Amino acid sequence: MMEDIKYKDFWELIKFLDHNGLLDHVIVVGSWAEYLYAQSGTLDGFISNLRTLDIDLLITNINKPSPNVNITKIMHEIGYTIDEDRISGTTKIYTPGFMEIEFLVTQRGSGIKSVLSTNLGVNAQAIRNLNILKDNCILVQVFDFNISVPLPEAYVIHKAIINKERLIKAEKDRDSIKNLLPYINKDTVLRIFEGLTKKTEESNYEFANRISRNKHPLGNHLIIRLKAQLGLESH
Amino acid sequence: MSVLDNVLAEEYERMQRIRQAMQKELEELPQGYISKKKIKGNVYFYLQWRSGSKVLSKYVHPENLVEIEQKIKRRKELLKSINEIDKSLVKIKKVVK
Repeated sequence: MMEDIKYKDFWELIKFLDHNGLLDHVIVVGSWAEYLYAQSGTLDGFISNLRTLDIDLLITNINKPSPNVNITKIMHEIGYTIDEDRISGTTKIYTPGFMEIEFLVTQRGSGIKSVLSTNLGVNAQAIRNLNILKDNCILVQVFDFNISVPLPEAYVIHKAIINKERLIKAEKDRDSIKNLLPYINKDTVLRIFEGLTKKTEESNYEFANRISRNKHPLGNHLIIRLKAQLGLESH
Repeated sequence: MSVLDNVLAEEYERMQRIRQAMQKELEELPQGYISKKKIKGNVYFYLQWRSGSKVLSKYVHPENLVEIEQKIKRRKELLKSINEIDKSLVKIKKVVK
């Protein structure tokens, strides 16, 4: 029953964003991206292991749409519950089926502010490393909706890089990575790796080691590449 | 802690957050119902609610009628949702024990 409600609420949200011309301004990140990989056939044979009631939306540009739209007002009118985190000030929106919608933006530069107001009328949480997802996204088509999601390869790399910070979610994320690994493209992973900043190299190395320990051939390719990048011995 | 325990703990906290947000909204909404009275051929609307053993009422200007009716409807929906959340919280607690 809960399962049905969460899928219904997810698609109601997508319909709402599409109807209001806002779907182009967000990327579905988090585990709902996995659901969309499976539904769209992006990864042939992949079955998503969805067990979350959070929907994370990455806002691509805080200054768009222009003129701005107050989605909290519209969503409240149609039965969503709007909340603001007392500590962080971020906007949280709850669906009638008790799903939690959160908004994220990429933290760039010195990035002092952890919450940014956006032209969508929500305060979004600014997080580092989200540019990996934003700069490597694709459009998937499901039920006639064109939805932006990160490339599965970018999704896996991002999850691996932030794994240390994920605390109680770390193990769940590792399961997601393991589940996706057989379906991702080695060349795409390498291409994304090359575009990453120096700061993430240590995390990359750890990620490559982890995959290698799982006896996935991609891990060895990455270690060789990273060792070369870091000026270490390549074998 | 197993993945399942983590998921349940996370879900419990999430449900509590939603409950708090709904409760906060609920407190700003009018309780009661709209009653219609005909006085000397004119129709008047009143918001009526119970306070202990008393029934209180407040005149509602026709211009505000739709808005108040919507708020009463929203309050009912929220009460129903909070009730569902409370049941879920009890269920999660039982599983975690």
